Amino acid sequence: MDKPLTKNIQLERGPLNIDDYIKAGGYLSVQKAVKSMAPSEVTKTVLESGLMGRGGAGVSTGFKMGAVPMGEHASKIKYLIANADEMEPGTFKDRLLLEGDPHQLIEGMLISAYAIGATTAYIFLRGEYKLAQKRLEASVAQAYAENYLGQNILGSNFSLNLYVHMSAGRYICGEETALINALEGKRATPRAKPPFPPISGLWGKPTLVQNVETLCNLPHIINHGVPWYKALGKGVDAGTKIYGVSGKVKRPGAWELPMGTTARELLEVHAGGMKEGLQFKALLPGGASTDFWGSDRLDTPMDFSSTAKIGTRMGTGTMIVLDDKTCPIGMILNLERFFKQESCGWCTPCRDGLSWIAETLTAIENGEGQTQDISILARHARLLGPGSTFCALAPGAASPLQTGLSRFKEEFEQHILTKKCPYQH
Amino acid sequence: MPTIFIDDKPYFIKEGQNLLHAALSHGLDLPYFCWHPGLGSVGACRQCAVQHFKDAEDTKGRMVMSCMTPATDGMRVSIEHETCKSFRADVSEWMMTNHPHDCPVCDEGGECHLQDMTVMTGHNYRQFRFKKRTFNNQKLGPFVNHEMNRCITCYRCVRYYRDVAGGTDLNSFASSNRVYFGRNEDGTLENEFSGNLVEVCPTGVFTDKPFKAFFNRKWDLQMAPSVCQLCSLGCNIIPGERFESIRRVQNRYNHEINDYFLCDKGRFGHSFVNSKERLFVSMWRQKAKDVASEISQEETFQSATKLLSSSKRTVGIGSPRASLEANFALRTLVGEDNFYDGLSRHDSVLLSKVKQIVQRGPALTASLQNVKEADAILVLGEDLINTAPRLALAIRQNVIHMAQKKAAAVGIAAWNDLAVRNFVREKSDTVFVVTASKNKLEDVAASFQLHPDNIACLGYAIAHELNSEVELPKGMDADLLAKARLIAAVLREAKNPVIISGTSLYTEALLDASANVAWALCRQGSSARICYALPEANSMGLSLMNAKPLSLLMEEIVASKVSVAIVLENDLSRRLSSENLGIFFKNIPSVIALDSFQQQTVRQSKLAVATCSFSEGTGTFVNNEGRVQRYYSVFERKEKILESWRILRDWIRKSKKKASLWKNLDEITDDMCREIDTLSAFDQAIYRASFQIDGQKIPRETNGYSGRTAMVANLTMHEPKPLVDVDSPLAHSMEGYEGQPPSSLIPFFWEPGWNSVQSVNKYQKEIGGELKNQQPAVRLFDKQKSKKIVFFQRPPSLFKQQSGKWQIFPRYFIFGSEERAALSLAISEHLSVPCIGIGHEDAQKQKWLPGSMVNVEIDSKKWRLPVVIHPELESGMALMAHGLAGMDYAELPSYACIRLSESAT
Repeated sequence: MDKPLTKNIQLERGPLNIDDYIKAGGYLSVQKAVKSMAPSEVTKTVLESGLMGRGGAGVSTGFKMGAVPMGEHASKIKYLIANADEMEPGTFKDRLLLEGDPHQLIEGMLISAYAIGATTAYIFLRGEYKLAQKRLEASVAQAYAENYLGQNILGSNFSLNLYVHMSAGRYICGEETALINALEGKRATPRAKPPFPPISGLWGKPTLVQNVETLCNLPHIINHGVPWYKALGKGVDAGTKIYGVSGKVKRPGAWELPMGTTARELLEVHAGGMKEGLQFKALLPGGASTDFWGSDRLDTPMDFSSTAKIGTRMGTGTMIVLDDKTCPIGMILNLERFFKQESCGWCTPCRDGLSWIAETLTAIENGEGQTQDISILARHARLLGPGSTFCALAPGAASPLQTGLSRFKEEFEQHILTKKCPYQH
Repeated sequence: MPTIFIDDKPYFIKEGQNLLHAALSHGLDLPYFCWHPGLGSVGACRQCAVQHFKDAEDTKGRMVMSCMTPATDGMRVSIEHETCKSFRADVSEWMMTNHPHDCPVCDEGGECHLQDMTVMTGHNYRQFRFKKRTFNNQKLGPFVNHEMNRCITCYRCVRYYRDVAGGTDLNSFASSNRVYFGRNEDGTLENEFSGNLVEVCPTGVFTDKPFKAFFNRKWDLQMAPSVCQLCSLGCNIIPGERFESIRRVQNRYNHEINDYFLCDKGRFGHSFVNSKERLFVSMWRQKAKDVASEISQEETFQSATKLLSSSKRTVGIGSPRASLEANFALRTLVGEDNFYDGLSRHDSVLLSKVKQIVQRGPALTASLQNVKEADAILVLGEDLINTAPRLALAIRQNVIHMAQKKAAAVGIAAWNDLAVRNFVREKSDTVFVVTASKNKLEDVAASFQLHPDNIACLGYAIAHELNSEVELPKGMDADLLAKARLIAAVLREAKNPVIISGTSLYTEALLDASANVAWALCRQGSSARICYALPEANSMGLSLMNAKPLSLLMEEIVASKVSVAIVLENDLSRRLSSENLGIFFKNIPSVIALDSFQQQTVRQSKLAVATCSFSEGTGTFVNNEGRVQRYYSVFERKEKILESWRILRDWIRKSKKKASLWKNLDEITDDMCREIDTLSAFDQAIYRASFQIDGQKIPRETNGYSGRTAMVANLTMHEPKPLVDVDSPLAHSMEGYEGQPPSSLIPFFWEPGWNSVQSVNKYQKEIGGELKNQQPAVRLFDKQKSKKIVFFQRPPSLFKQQSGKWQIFPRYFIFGSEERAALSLAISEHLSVPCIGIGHEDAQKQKWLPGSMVNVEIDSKKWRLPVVIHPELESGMALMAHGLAGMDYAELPSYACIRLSESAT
């Protein structure tokens, strides 16, 4: 089984330096693209590969790249940003790639920058990822030394400067326009779209923001071609995916597997099932801002198309598993407190609605819940859905709340009725 | 015309509007917070949600924010759809989770946009049962009060303060439901337009601090349409009165001038009316050194007419801050030959030059709206933020306007405010501001500093680039010529450029140069306009009176045998050197001074006559562009004080035996228009006292006005008869026409359900555009233009430093240089202090530090002042504070020696 993304990664050894990386076939895609492909061909190849953004939204990567204006009349200044602000609770897939094989990300960024004509690129890195920062900075320095970064890369007309920027630490910076604002030194508040960043992004110039995992796919698509890439997936969607499992399972971790692997396989085979004495209760398939799945959904293939078909989302593909001994209300409270804390405070429903949700859940968990609280929570779960807020943070926060309310209805009622949390001893 | 359907009814829309703008423009009620017509859309508050349908069959629709959705032809939306309607109530409920519900003790109560919008959404029961978050408030200085707990986080304050007004010391802090709007520490808001926060804030976070100190509800104020008295731009204001004091001033929307914003001098400066320096009773001084004694109005009349009847020669000294009517009355009393302008020598010369330029043409004068919409702007010399602040703000608005045009190229709508700002990052490449010292427009415009003579040379060089008939100044260096070429190239491409200058640097060549530039552009066929900042509110009006210069009187004063001088609302100590002032009083045995407050001339005069202030009398001003505007008395005092023109009229009646002269304002107006040619169009600008709508006058009091009996209940229990106003169509009453009067007669804005300042929406044809009952402006210099252009041809020489000497220019201050505004309590806490500004190079050479005390010696006179360093000032010149209280008048520009003061600092 091909594992292009993680083939160089051995955690105990640390990342490859540039020489070893090149020996392992690294930077070949850059040679190929810069010397034999027009930028538009690169974009076309990515589009045809069917690669979908791995940040969670699952937008076609080639489509997004194609939205950047090209040609004579386009702005001469364009930016590429790697979104390495991995702050989705329960998600650690980009961390694996950042710490495990930083040159792969740089190579992916070179491909993307070449395709859109960017001359400056940033890696916007989660503030806590100190090890990744160290390794990225070392790799960037090596790449400059070998002329994979800097002026006239490999003797071509293509130049790229790359900077590693540590985030000051806000969840909302994962939203691409809030990230852009943060990178400019402004408040990390999302921007209205349209205009989308490819039209007006960083410093008002065309900008492409791509997830780390997405970018890491690009070298392999260029090296091996579209049919190979498509064949990697199990189902409809192409490529491999870094899936993760956390929670009280036997072997929590992250693995590169074919796109479309089922939740059951992840849980039972790769994570080894629940710890002794615990039963599976539910899971969040891809971070905190996805729906709760029960055992009824375990056989769903984890890809964008299959999950969309049943009206839910895969998100980042790194699941959080809930067992039968952990209070689901406590878990939801934990999530909603996080979302409330991380609301940027720009739009009313998110700013004041999430605070209200967190207050209400706290009361319920503390045994101070009131009967009408469930309907207040349900109203919020509905009102914070897509369309009513400025960005996707609040709809994300509403996902586990809404599905939690229906899946754990009894627990909610029990908390309120008995005026205590039955899971607390 | 594009049409949209709102709840199945068709509405015409204007291309490029968003749905909210379109709906409000049609008079529909749709609640909103973060949107403001002066700020554009950002989509933050989610209050203006509407339902958008795919087609006529779609009944479910999709909820969209109307402020962020372009209105396009054929679009179908609903305001009344249950989904969006209940969502809007939910948004109100969210906002109310932390709002303190302290309306009864809140200054905003009763004129609160949050109250209005909450009622509009129908939200009335709050389910939130948890503790509200609380904040600490900040002390933000004398103008604006801060009460953060009331905040609903609409972000308007910071967007206005930073993005429109250019302030930097107000910001948003923290996140989630703890977003805080304030400064990083307590302290006076630095921006000159901070007072607009009071009107921009939709609730009671930012309120009018001086108003708070003597508070009453909006509906208990008596209000009238008025015009700012404190600079030449003529911004429209609404003063509000209770118990014979002016409690506050609000913006009176006029889209051609001040639109939604005033400067802080205009908003907080007018309470000089309440100052303890007010002159309520006339004073008589038998001999120069006597203590003055109070005299009654009848005694005043007797004394004045007696002095006049025995006078050999009586001269009148007019005033650029007195109304046209008052100046005209004085001119009539003393005769044109004896009427002097009451200006300093330089002001006189400059003002007649300005008049010559705007009358002769061909460039029309620019209104603030013309400035906002210009496609290129050149400022030559004038320090606008201090001499005509609202004009500086108009330039900022222009920069936004031009950015919107740029953003349109990539499909970003003009109202999509943050998108426009994110897309356009560069400073303006069409606005050039050249001044002697920093001008506070550096952050948005191409700006640099030069000696005033060199600015004039630059102007000549630009004009020369545009038209070689204009002489090129000699000896200009390559850098300056390159700048001239660049600016000329931008102006040449512009269709509606505006050239701005003014009189405050006392440099006539700047006026010549700016006229040359404008005229050269006109010659090319562009509709270039010209705009001059003038010294005072009615400077332009005074210039139409054919008054002789005061300096002429001073030249002949010894020989002229003047027995009586009547000084009209003017303090000659601000116009003449102390030496000349001494000569004036020594040679004129009887000086009669009319004014509404104590000032040096009043204190020295034989007869000081108390006149009413703008708040108690009606009069007319001509602003810097030649726009005729009337301000109406807001209230009458129980102890009535007359307007200057009425006092003078009584003297004319007696001395010229015209017992029935000018029974009311209309009659003097008629006479004035007959006698002064330029003013013949004047009567179109005003409504006669007989004007009524539906047989009714326009009430100055709201229909909620309370306490008209209670206010005087300690004296009498009878309701006093409403006062009759013979001068205007306004009534001192709550009874009268309740609809919308013509634009110049709007005493306050109010509509049912719209109690806040945003009720102005209901008075506009299109939101942000002109008022429904907009009267055409009367601008005196729009006609009578000759096409013939005769350029000014004597460019000054480039400045050459004189060794051991500095050339001193005046420096004006927004807070302090206007004598009356300085008397306002709030502004008195914010006054600039006398100082001398020196360039960095000179200061280093002389080893002077900021605060070093120096003696500035002009001729034989000395001013002892602390040094302020202006790094950008050219070597060899200095800026001396001008017009501040306690500083003797200095005739500038002059050469001076500056020496470190030997006495201790």
